[in-house]
Amino acid sequence: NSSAKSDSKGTHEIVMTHELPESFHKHKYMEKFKEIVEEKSEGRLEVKIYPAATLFKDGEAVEALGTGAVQMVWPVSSHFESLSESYGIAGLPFGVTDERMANEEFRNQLTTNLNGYVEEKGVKVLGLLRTAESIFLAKDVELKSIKDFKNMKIRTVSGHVASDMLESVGSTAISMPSTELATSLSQGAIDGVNTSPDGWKDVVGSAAKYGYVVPDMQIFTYSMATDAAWFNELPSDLKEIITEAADEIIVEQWKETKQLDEKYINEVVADYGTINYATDEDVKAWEKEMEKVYAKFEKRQPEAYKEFMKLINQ
Amino acid sequence: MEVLIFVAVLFLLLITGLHIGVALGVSALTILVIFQGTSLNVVAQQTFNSGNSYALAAIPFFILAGDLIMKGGLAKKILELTDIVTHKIQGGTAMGAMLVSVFFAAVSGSSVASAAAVGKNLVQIMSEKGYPKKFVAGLVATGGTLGLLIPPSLSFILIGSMIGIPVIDLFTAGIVPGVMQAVMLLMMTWWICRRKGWEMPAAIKATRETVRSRASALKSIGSASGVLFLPFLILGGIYLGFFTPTEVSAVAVIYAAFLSVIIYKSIKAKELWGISRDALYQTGMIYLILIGGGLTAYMLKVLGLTAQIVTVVGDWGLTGWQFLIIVNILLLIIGLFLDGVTVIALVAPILFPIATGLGIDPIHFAVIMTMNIEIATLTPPVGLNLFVMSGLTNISIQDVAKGVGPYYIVLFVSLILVTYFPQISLVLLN
Amino acid sequence: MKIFDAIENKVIVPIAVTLFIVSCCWMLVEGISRQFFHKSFNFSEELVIFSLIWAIFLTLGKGGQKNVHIVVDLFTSKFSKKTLKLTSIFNSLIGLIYSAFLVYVGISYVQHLMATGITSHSSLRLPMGIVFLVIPIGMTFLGLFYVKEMKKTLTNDSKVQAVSEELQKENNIPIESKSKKRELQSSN
Ligand code: NA
Ligand code: NA
Repeated sequence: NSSAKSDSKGTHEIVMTHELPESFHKHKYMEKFKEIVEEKSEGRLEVKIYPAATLFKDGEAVEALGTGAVQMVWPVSSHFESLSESYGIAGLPFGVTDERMANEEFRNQLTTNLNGYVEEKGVKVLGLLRTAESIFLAKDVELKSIKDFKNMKIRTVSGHVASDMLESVGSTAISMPSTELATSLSQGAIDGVNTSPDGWKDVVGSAAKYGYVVPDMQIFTYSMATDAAWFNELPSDLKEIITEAADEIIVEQWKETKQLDEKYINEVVADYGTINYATDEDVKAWEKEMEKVYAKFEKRQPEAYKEFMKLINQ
Repeated sequence: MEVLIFVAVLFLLLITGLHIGVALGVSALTILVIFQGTSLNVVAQQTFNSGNSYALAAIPFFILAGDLIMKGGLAKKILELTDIVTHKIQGGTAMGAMLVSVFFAAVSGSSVASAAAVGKNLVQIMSEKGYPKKFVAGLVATGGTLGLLIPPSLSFILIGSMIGIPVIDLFTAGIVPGVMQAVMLLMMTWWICRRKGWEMPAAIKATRETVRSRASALKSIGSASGVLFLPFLILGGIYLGFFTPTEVSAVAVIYAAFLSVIIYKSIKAKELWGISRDALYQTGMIYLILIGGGLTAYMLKVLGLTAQIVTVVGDWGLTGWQFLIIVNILLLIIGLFLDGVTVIALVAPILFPIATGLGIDPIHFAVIMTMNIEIATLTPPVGLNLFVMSGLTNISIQDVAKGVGPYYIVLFVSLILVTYFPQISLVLLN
Repeated sequence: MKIFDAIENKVIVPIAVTLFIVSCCWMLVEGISRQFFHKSFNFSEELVIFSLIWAIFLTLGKGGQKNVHIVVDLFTSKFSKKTLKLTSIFNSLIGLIYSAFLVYVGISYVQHLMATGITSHSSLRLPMGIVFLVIPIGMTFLGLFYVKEMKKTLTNDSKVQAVSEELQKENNIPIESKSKKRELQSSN
């Protein structure tokens, strides 16, 4: 049942799912994707979007790729580390930056690399969308520099790299379900949270007074992924339409969400928050500490590490 | 069409007495597999994911902690303690019994297990004081339901993990309505005893004043203090930030085991294995329903029914106020026939999106839902607490329900108050 | 059948109870370790949840034997003996079909997961195919429970009585009827 329902007229249905409310930007871009591919394919591609986990949560959808129940999902990239640890390159600090992603060659090669790690496991990667820039939040300690991270209990996003990053600056990386996050912070079970600006505004709220951003260090991404077997069986013109639509959205989306991050931070600052950005000197200190993270990653995934180094040093 | 078939199959299977969880699962699979051609892999995934939630993990551990406390006959210690305060009041034993029921239900998180453990002691003691069995059974059955409202609460854990609301917020929201209900139930108990002339002050003097002494009061406090500390441990552990609400369930287990085995020596260490095993089986009962409920919820999603209902109800242009009336009536009717876990598994995924769409605070809504479930456990034909007390006292379910009689008024009045004054649930949250 | 009983009692139940206790203790370890030793384990969540799910799924069938699973007995309590016998055979059959179906879909999904090699998120990197194995295993024992129920109904009712009395003693609670017993043992 892995190939999608396609009728005699050669119409192909694309079931897309995500777990966020329809007001989130991901939903808007899914609708845009739908519009583009349906128009360009003159109706031969039919997209059905299930928002707000009305069909699957993202993790479930990733597991269900290849079953025919869903053809496309754009989960947080770290989900694919459960298919291949090499996928962790997408989260390496100072790796995937706004500037690099503006470069078409970098973008395409990165997608090729990432796809190489997961395609044989049934997932085709079409590219990376920008989720948000990472921000560190603390309840009652003003985070001003790297030194303030000593002995902080900070809840990280999932994935090896994210917790290595915090541990390399002396924090304790806490893993905790997101449902317990806001409470744990306000009750003091944890000191801080690694999240995104909209996470500050909508999830954590005034439980965290202080925010801290190291520019360009950590950009969270979504991976645009499809069922590989299904994709590979499509007529080649339809494949092209999908690939092109994906890239078109990626370019636009990276620019727009960067502005969104600023907007959210401004709103929080106007309301209850204080934000600090790492100074140049501080950024250098972070870069130095992050070498440990790279070293650990190299040890775990030497091949992927080599390829990524080659890519960013081009 | 599919929905009608689903409902028909479900009813048929429930009537024949099939396990509720299996009935839900089979009905949902009938639609999914036969009419929707759903991938089998997705069925397996949904089956597993029904239990795949960290917040849910608190359920078995609170059940286990409750069992450990119950098995130790600790109810009697608390009753002796409340007697210090209530023995001078008319109907004092009854009020003490109500306090004990509420206390045990509160710390255990489930109402049935606590009613079973407390009930036996109370029926004996109160019969000696001349209270009718029917009344005692109704009283204990009612007091037990407060366990769902006062934290920790299985109902709130279930709703929180299904809807994605922090469990601690729900716990917090349940405190004031729970205490309010407890006070109202105590007042009702006093009023009933006074009207019926049970345990008149004169009689109290003759039988009890003589045996009471300061020393024995202190002794009662001392021996009950270990149990009394449990609610503080649970709430303090969460609110002081030592543990997450889920972790605190494990803390409660360890503390209850320590208390029963080391301090009160009411349980032997080797018995812990069997008690854990029984708590595990009880959890299985909830999960079998969650699996069936999960498949049903997925079926509703695939049919797009949840979204449709939300839209349809939205088109009616109801105000939140009107919607809440309808919900209360609906839940009362469903609650006549189904138990709490099933009600939550079945209707929460549909009702919550509508409620939030109408601007009702989901936390407030969860409290309303839980109060309806309290009533559901007390209404025939299917009311778990009625069954328990009927079994313990050897009187019919109808008679236990009659014993609950006046307490229904308290439950309804408090439900209405909480429904239309959201502040009662939300006051501690702001 | 006897061999399955032996496996269930001597292997499955002890494993399940052990996992249940491990799950509880590890939750505590994570909390204490984070709070007092500033150390958190990224695999805690998975260890706790997966142990628990395994423990619960493995004993769904055994729980059935202990009458924990609840039913609506509003109508069955009014059925005649003959009707009751028929419905109980029917119920066992439906229960068996349900379990068998879940065994089947469970195996099929395990194969899918094995093929993709998907692992869990934490540093444990458990193959999800192994984790999901609990569906076919647990549902096998649930199915066997329904087979036993059917056998019981078909052979004799006196045994049912004996089992219920034994249960009564075990729990030390006076019970009028079997149906109430069911309700009693459930929580909530
Ligand atoms: Na409680
Ligand atoms: Na009821």
